[in-house]
Amino acid sequence: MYSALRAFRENLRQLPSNFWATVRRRGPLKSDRSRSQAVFSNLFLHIHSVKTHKHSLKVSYTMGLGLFAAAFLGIVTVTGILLMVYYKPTPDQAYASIKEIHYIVPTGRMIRNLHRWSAHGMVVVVFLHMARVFYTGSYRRPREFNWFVGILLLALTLALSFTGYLLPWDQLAYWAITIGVNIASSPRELTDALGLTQHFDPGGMIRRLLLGANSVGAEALIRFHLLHVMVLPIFLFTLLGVHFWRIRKDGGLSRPETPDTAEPEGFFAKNPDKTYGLMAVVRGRSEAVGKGPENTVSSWPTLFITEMAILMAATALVLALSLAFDAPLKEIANPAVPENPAKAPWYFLGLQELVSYSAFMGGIGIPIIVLIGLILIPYLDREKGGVGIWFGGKEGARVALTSFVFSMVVVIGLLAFVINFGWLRQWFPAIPQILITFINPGTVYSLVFALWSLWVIRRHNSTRMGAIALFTCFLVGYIILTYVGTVHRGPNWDFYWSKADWPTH
Amino acid sequence: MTDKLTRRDIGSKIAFGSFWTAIATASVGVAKLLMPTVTPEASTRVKLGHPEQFPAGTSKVFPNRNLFVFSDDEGIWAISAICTHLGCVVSRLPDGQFDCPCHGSKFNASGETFSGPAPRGLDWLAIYRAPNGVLYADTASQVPSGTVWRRA
Repeated sequence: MYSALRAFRENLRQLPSNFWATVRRRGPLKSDRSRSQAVFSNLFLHIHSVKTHKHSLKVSYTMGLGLFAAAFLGIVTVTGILLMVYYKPTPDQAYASIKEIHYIVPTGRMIRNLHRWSAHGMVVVVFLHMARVFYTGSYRRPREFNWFVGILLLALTLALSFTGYLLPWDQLAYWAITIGVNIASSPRELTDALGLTQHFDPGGMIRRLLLGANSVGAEALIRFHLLHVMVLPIFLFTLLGVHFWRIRKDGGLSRPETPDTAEPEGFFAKNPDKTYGLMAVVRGRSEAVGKGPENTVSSWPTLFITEMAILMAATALVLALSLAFDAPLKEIANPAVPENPAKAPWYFLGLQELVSYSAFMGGIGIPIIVLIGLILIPYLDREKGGVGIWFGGKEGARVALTSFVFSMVVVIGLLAFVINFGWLRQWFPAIPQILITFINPGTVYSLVFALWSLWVIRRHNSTRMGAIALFTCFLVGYIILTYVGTVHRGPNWDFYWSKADWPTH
Repeated sequence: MTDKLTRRDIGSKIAFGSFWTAIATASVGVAKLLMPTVTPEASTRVKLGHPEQFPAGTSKVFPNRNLFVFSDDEGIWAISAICTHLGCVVSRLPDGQFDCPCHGSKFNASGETFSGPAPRGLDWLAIYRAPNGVLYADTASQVPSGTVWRRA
């Protein structure tokens, strides 16, 4: 006889397994079908494809750089929220609250170090990821728009790092932000030269918008804090969603048309000695008609193991760095005495090197030209073929190598010349300011690189080769200028071979 | 194809037009909030002292207000210590020259730039005398280079 009491007892006994079954809503992972279901019936996993192409899992292809960026983003998000528990964004308390986090809050120092190191890590891998996508030709049809989204994500990553730089309210922060905001308002240099500032002052508007005042103070700290913890992350995560979504919609990661892992062995019988009956007529122009299945594996578990491994590697790396190196904290901000030298975060020191010749061109003009150039690449190079192959083949690798050597010579040559012999104002003291503003060594670099790229297009009769040449030149320029700004610039932005040579007051 | 504008077309144009007008108006409102009209900053007026405190040929630094004050027989003048390049604070060398620590701009004793990236010379600031005889400088009010407050 049915006993409700017994059924109740049995239900109670099976409660954990029944509950878990309602969560998963799938059978054991023994078939491809259930492995597929595991992915697409799960809110958190369904951004993945249920099948992953073997080529996309090749370490030598992606090097996991996009995943590393996402892993670092995860770490900065978690540690950032933890830091917000104690951080107070007012000039009176900001510095003290960072000290509190550093010296008193349990694990506070570690969390702050992790935040800093994974932010740096994110900047590095985002750049490398961009280079990987570029050199494998992955920006081409149909992925042009996702390249554009990626460039926006790069800009947001840098903006997030920059806004975070002010928050400790120490000398480094205060002067880096003073310089940064003055760079942002340097269009005034241009309007001044044209005599327009009284009527139209975009530089001043940007300044007031960023600072909420005329100098870096309480209003600026609130604004930067708000941008750092709310506004920019909202944009970043939204665009990241678009970025991931477009990967799927654009057909997964780029790969060669005939990847070396094209068809699974033995799918089509060799020398068939049987006749086959016609089972169905497949209509339409689907790419799959007449082809074997692609060489894919179930995302569960292969892809997820890869992702977990990369998250662990990223975490291990920043943990090691955080144990070894503390995030710096200088004296409290002092508006009367600038740091000497006052340096921005390292990834902006290449720009700071250019800014030291003229603020507008170095800090606004050239970065905008580079950003627009990057965005336009997929629309100016519309050649097909070579997608998913490093440098698009041997010819591209050669162009990249010659461009590397060429730009090394140009960048180091001009920089050494400028450091030894000075720049325009030293030679022509009465030179009009408008020439100083526009004729920056960076302008010379950009022109030389553009001409070089046009020459490569003509010589190789290929826009792709021109793009490789241009991208390589700018990458080399960025790296060398950043290196010189970081290592070789000392007090008064003078050149020193090493920090040991800096004058000691 | 005729380009006849039907009543329905006009209606939808008005509808879309009002939608975008509403969006634009709201955006202007949002943007206006972000642009402060009053900035919560310390007064830009710096109290310098009585003219007798500035004998001819002397100079004085007001470090917390980023200001240098000079004087000669003719009068007294004030030069801002904020570099016109990117806002660092210049220091004054014994020979009277000003050096910026951030990007190496150099200015001569009267604030004119002669080296480095600074787009213009250091700002000269307005000096005025209050009714009680005390001199003030205004860091927000620039005067042409060479403008001197004349001793009576």
